[in-house]
Amino acid sequence: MKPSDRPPDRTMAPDALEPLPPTLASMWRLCKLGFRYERGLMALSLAMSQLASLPSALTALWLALLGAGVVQHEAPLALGAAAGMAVSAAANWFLMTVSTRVQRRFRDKVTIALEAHVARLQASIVSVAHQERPEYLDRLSMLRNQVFVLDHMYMSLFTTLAWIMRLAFTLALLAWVNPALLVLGLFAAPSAVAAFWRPDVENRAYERGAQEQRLSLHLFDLATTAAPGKEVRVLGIGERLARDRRAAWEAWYRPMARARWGTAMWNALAWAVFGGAYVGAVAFVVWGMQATTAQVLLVLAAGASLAGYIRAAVAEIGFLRGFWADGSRRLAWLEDYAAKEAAPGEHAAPAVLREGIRFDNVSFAYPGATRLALDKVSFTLPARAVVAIVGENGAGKTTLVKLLAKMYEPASGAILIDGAPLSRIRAADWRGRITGALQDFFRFEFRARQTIGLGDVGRMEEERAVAAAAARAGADDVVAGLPAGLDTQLGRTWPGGAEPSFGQWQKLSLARGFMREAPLVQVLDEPTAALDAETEHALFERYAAAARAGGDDCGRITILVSHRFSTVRMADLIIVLDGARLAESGSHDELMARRGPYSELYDIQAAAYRANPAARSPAQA
Amino acid sequence: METRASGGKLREAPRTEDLRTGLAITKRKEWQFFVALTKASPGLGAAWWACLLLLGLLPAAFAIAMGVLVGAVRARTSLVEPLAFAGGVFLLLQILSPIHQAISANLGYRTSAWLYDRLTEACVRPRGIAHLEDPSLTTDLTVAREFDRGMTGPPLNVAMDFIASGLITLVTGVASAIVVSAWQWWAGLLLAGAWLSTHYLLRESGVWRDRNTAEVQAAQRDADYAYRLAVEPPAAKELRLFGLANWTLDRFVARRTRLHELQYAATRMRERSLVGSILIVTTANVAVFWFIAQAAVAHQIGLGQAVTFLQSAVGVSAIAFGGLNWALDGASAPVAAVLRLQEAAARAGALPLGPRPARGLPEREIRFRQVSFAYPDGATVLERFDLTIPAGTSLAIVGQNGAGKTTLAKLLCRFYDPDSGAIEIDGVDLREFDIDAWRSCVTAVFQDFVRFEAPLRDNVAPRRIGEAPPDDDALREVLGAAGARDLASLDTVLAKGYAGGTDLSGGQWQRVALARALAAVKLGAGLVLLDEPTAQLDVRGEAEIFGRLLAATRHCTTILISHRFSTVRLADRICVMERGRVVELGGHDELMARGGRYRTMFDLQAQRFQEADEEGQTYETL
Repeated sequence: MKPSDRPPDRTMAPDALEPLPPTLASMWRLCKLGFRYERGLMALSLAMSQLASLPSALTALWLALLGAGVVQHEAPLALGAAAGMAVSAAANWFLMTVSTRVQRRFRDKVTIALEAHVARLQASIVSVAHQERPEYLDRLSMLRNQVFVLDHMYMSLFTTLAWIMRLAFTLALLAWVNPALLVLGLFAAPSAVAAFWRPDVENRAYERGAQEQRLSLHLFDLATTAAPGKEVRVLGIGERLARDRRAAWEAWYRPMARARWGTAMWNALAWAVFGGAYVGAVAFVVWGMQATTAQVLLVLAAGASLAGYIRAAVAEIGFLRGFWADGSRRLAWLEDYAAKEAAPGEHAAPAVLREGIRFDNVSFAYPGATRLALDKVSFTLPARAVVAIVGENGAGKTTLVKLLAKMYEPASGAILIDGAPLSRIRAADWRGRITGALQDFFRFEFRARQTIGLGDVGRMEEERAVAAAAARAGADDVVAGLPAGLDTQLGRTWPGGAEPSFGQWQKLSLARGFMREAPLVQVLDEPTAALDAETEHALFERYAAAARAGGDDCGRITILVSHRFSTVRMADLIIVLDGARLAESGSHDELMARRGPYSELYDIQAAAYRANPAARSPAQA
Repeated sequence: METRASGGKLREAPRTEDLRTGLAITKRKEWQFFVALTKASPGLGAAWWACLLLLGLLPAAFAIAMGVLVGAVRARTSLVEPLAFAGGVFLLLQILSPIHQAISANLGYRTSAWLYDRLTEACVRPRGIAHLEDPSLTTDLTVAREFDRGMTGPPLNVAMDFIASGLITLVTGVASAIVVSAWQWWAGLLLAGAWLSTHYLLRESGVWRDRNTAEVQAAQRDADYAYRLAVEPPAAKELRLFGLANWTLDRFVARRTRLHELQYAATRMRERSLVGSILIVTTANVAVFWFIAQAAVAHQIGLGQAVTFLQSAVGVSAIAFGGLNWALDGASAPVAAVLRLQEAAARAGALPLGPRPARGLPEREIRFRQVSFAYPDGATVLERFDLTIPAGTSLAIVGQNGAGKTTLAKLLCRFYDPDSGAIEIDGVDLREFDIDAWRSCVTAVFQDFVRFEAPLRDNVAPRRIGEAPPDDDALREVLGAAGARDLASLDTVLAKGYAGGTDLSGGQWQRVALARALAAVKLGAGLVLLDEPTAQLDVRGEAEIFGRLLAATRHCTTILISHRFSTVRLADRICVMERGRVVELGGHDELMARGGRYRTMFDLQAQRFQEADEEGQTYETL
């Protein structure tokens, strides 16, 4: 039983991966999609491909007519049949050529539409769960590899139809000689069975090897990219990487190859059965029916092409099921998933934050994880405040940020924006009002102007806005140092591209986080880990000043996630997380006075800067 | 410079160039492709060709068999042998087809694995690292690395079947023409010529030949990048945070559409060629078919022969459909690219090798003597740089971004050699040492250290080929020293997406990287390079780890590159770099007393703590 045929299992664990939608329905959806994007070309392709299938199917008939003409000494019939054959051959080529061109055009255009469709679905899903959970990643990475061939499904479908047309015509010819010959068609059943069963076997072998495949790609990336190249050389493990990569590849490939040989064997066997039946049919016509020469000719030619047509149709259907259908099922799944995740909030984001943001008993666990990342956390971030979030690694700091950016929804509890639940606010609206710089920021390899300007797409090309954001983030020196300033292409793999250092990239990402004019929330998640002392100092002075000046007057909350207590202490409110729970919160003075976990952590770091580090650092003790 | 110029030609169409300069066939990428097949798997390669040939010949044989059978029916002679002949040919044809498909797919996989191997070796073998960092080569490398990910054409395992079917069809066409020529030599030639002419007349609309223009490449790369931005995880969060989905997608669609229009314009069907082709083909066909039929009617040939010749005459049309098709064009490009890259990488990454053993070094000192260095892409980083580091001491290097700190570390690892001057280990030029021996004296934690998707064990102690696995106690000891004792079991894979795999946070990874360095020290590395090793550690971690680290590497020569003065000050000596030169050098107290650059920078960072201590105030001053 294929996974898709199973009835929906209601008792399934909520975070188990839902099965892919059924094959036929998915393919039908893909057809409708193609029709929606490229109506005219799709209809024309279908018509042309069917028309092009006719001439070659006529060959058997022409041969029979020729035979009749020669045997009965009817020269016009024989000559006419020969001419018909000649024209059929030429027409076959002509129609095929034109049909291929039309289909090519259709497929190219529909591929663009489908790629954009898939990318749009993925990029517009509100949450990022599908980008962080390995099971989803596996599914999506296969779809990504398949999307450029999804157009083959249309071609495959048209071709299948065309083969079936020829098949029907040829069967009709055979039935015309003797209806009993239709039995020949039944002997194709074994190959049809094999064609339906084997692709599943191969697919399973492919998916079982996903880990090995991932490993071999990982090792390949390690071996062939510059950054890991340094350590690979110091460690002297280059040859080992090459060997391990090959080993992982072999481990992935071998079961798949075995499955493929199995398929070949079963198919060969199944076709041998048909071959036997064909010989039997000819023998029946010759000996059993005492048929005329023309009839023998017809059966010989039609029976032989029958094999070709059935094989082509079955192979095409196998292709459809084994490869193209799989892609369409994944696409259908992605559509369903995107639709399910689309929680259309009904409210717009507020224009101004008046009271602030309240986390009310918020709990959250990552999909597929058992451990809670946040456990009944409650606190309030007052409007216009500079808030710092501290805590050890894995304490849930970044998770808080993700929830606040609506990249995930809380499992229980609520986040309230001036008392209104964030879950009811439209994601697009809300995100139009938040901004920030993330710890694992992305290196957008565009012109520097765009790399920064992406923080507020609408004003991306405004020189003043971009320059101002760069200045606010202290990235003006980075921009000044680029060969063509804001017009410099970033990323060394691009023609003429400059490669900023890690710290410079970080400053650019920070600048991006300063593009929006009146954000309600600005998140700075470990924004300075790679910056040097002077830059960091200058930067913090500027933030704090900007945040407090409140020039935009929209009640902006600035959230700083940091390990550096020198930064943290300047916040109005400090939230201390410990093991997914809220440990304490308050201002620096309050927390220091309380002598809790915060003051303990603070002392450790401050000690490192005092006159004699060895005397105070507990690590040295 | 020469390397760079030749490397940049990777995507240029070698086809037209080769034709122009008249290079031997062995330099053609199609040739290289078929050679690669044989090298990737000699057995599968031979089987692929043998099956292909048989599959091409069998349809022509079947036409003969049909004629023989019909002739026998007409003549009322024994039908057993003719039927056995036809049945045998037919059966073989049925059985071989699925087998050849499996051979094609497997051979395609094997060939891409072979190419991946060549590429991996090309990157891994050179001792230097210039071939990975030189922008002119990285462009080629990026393109070559993507060859089987389905971005520029179907992957090889799919392409092989297309290539095979083109060749099978061609063989069938030629074999059929030969059968027709057995009757009248000119008839076969005429038909073959007519069908062949369609290739010539429609040549422009076949393959997109001038697709290697700057515009096409730029559109292709832009589209590719935008697509990956939209669908791949690394940018997912910012894509959402800033609402970039539409912008990215519009960019993608615009580039892709442009690409398609360019291709369409270049390969559009020319009406006149099409009409010309159909006229030629129809005329030739009608003439030959008519002639055969007439001969049959006039009893010059028997019906059986007529059937064979007519069937074969239809078969000749396969020539128009077969040949070296588009799939071969796409499949052979990466082969040629990888082969070219192999040479270019070997040239760019080569370093002169010395014979001296290096075990236990440095014993006395490391010395930079008048070292100047510039990266292949031009910018001078170090100029007449002098610095002596006594063995067994620790040195911290501070300075602005781009001051050349990381470059020092790279030169010490001998990823590059200085352009002039020398690095001396105990008075001996680094270039004289056996490079592998020297590298086992060095351990390094870089800012962008490697996160192996491998068990914790292998992350701490990645082994060379043939090296014995270190015992678990030693591993636990170094993990403990790096503050990573309870991260995971030694056999846990440190990446999601593997059975039992788990992902670590940035700080946890950094501890693993430090443990890796400590493990190398245990194995005899005496020079420890730490390039921003604690940037991602939290407060408790940083203070604690660094103390432990210095204790564990006390006997080593340690070079620390850092922005954090709280850790920098723990080093024996501190070197302040500016624009590739040393501006201050000395111990923490010494430099503080001097009141120069170091003092300024230190005070800035420390200020925010000291103010609080001294004045009991918090952040008002900021």
